[in-house]
Amino acid sequence: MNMSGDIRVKTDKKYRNLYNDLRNLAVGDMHELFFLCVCLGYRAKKMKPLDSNGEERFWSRTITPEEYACYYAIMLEKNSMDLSSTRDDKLVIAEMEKYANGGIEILLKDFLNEYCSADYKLDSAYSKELPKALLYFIREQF
Amino acid sequence: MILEKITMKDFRQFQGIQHIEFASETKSDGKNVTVIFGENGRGKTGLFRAVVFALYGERRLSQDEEVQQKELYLVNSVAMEDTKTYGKPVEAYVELIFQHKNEQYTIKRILLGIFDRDERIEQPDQVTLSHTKTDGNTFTINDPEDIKKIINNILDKNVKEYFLFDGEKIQRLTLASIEQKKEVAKGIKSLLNVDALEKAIKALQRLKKELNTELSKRATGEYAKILHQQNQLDEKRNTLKTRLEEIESEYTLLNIEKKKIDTLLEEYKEISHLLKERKDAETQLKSQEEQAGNLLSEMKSRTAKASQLLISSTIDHVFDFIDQKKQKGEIPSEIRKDLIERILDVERKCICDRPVLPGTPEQIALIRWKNKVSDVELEDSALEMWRSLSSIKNYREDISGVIETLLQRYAVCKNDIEKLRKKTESINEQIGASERKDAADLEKTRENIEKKQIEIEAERMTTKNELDAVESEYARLSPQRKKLEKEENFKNELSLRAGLAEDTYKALQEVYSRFTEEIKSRIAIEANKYFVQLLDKEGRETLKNILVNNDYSLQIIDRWGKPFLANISLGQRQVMSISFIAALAKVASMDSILEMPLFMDTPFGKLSYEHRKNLIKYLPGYCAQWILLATDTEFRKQEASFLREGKRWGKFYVLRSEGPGVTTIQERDIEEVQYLLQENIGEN
Repeated sequence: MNMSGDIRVKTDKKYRNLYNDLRNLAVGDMHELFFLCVCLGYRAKKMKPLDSNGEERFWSRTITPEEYACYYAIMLEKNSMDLSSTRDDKLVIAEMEKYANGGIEILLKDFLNEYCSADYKLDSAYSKELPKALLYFIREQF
Repeated sequence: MILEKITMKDFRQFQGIQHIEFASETKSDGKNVTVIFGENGRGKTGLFRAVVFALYGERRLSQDEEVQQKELYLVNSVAMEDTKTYGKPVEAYVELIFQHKNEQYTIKRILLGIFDRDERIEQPDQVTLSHTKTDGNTFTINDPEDIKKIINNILDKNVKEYFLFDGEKIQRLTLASIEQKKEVAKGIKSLLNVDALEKAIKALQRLKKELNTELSKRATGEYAKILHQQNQLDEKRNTLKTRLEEIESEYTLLNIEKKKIDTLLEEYKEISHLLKERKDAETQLKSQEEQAGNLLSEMKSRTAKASQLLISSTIDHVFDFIDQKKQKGEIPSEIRKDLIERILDVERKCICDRPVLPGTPEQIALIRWKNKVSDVELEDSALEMWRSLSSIKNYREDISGVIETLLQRYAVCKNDIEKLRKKTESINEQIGASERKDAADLEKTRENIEKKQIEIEAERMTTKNELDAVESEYARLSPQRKKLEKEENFKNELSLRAGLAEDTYKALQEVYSRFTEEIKSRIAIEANKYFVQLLDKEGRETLKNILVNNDYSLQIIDRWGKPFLANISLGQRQVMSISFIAALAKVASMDSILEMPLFMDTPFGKLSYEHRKNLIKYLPGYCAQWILLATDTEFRKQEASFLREGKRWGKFYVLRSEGPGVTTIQERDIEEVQYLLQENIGEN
């Protein structure tokens, strides 16, 4: 596990507000939110390329070893357990970005619709209990 | 002031135009007592209101404290109903004719009443005062401010309650608050002309300052130095005196505030248990809300771990794959790939020196080995991944448990919060007004006020000491100044005038101090004389004498020389107040009878038989005019008989009801009284 720390992890530009609001109101750190989106996207096998290569969101050095382990595991499973598919972290992260982009769409569709405005901005007045609601949502997916 | 006649039009119960002529000493018969008799609700207090309204334009009496302004109507209700038919406003008025210092005054105040839809509106209109001087010339004044000044000069508004009062409430004068006492003291000073003396002292002070300033500009040497010092001291003295006055005002305001808080705190006593319950509920609510906040924060920090559960199957799948490879010995490889490559490509011989040449079975076997093993980096990575995934798998159950617990604890917490909110709402409903300040807040404010009062008290002491020091320094310099004036033969007109102003100022202060002391002592002496006359036997045995305090408030001393005011009965308080008023009137009129009416509403309500008898016997002799507004239960055959015996009773009016909201005033002969009044039962 190389776990490269010098990669700028990207997300779709149009979800900038949403990532920022969710980070502040529901999750904690950007890498954690990204991880959640990857997990949701991969679970649903939903990959979505980023528009015009996306927007840099955070440094890969903030990704924890456990999260990295999960990303490598996804790569392995996706590539018929070919260990060489985990060799290039840039490639791994690029794949994860696509899953995260698919995952955030699932979040929007199945969970955030009542909290979110058309420009993907969360209404803080209604979002006080978002951490609880998000945890419920994750639990329901098990 | 001697009241001669009052005329009312559509005022209170008095529909149409009605009038009363008062008995007064100024008339030839020398009779000065008027009795206006009526059962409750017939308009006695309305008449009292009419006098106060005519003189001061005041709609409210002191007994109206708890009555809303909106609920108090002065215009006759029956006449007002007629406006609904005709649509014109009702013009009500009161006209009062009185004499003062042999000159006649007629004051007339108009009040307009109209309905605006269903709302009843009363609006003060014109006021006029006609003043006929002794030479027969009459002047009419229409400016309300000028009228106010003239009336206040005749009977100061601040002391009106000493002459125009509700008999049952007169005892309140002995209970006056600090701020009321200040106002009353101001009024009494005006009545006794003490305020004129105060004004003269102030004027002299100003003159002295001007002369000294002028003098110091012209003076030289040591004399100039002393003058300069004295001017500065004078300046400082004035500043300190002003500050002392400000301190007094601040102290009074703080006292008012403290009293308000005390009244509120009294109310809070009744609901203190509810306030405590609410406070407890609010504390618990705060703690539960904090707990809910903490749980939400904890949930935020658990999201990433919870997310791992979404890809549990992938984690298991990959873990099993690596684990199997490990178990088969494929990871790590039995022979490292880099070693086989070295044998094949560089050494071309085995570790045992056996040659490995292309195409030989040895080379083919080694190539097969090489293809089977992964490179070192990937193997290491896979092993690290295996360890991480193993750890994730191990705490998977823990994380599920933690999530469940967090969600459950949050639900319980929210439920508790809801219950506590409902409880607080219910308590607030019982309390009545949830926005009211809590007793604890009030207690805190009260404590702050007391602290502030202690600070002010300390400042008052310091300022007083400073003032004493300034006065003494000023006095020390005065002989030096006079000596220098003498030595230098400094006798120009300016210095003589300044000296004269200084001496007069001192003399007037001395006069003021002696005069006020003498006045207070004379009021006390006179009040005691009346008090002894009016008091019943038992009271005379217990109570020794009345003291007049510096602020003209009263104290009573018992036979053992102890203050006893708090313990006397309402009737005794009433007698004490009347004695004080009579004394005040006597002192103000320089030992004759003060030209002031005693206008008493419900005069005998709280008085015992002997007190009534004494009052009826002696009061007509104490005052220039006595007007009694009496009910059927307090003015009966016996009271009337005592009054007739005194031979000062001149006029008798009866207030008769002519249906709801209408009373007529009927004058009756005093001889008819016996047929109209009730017998006294059980009193002797």
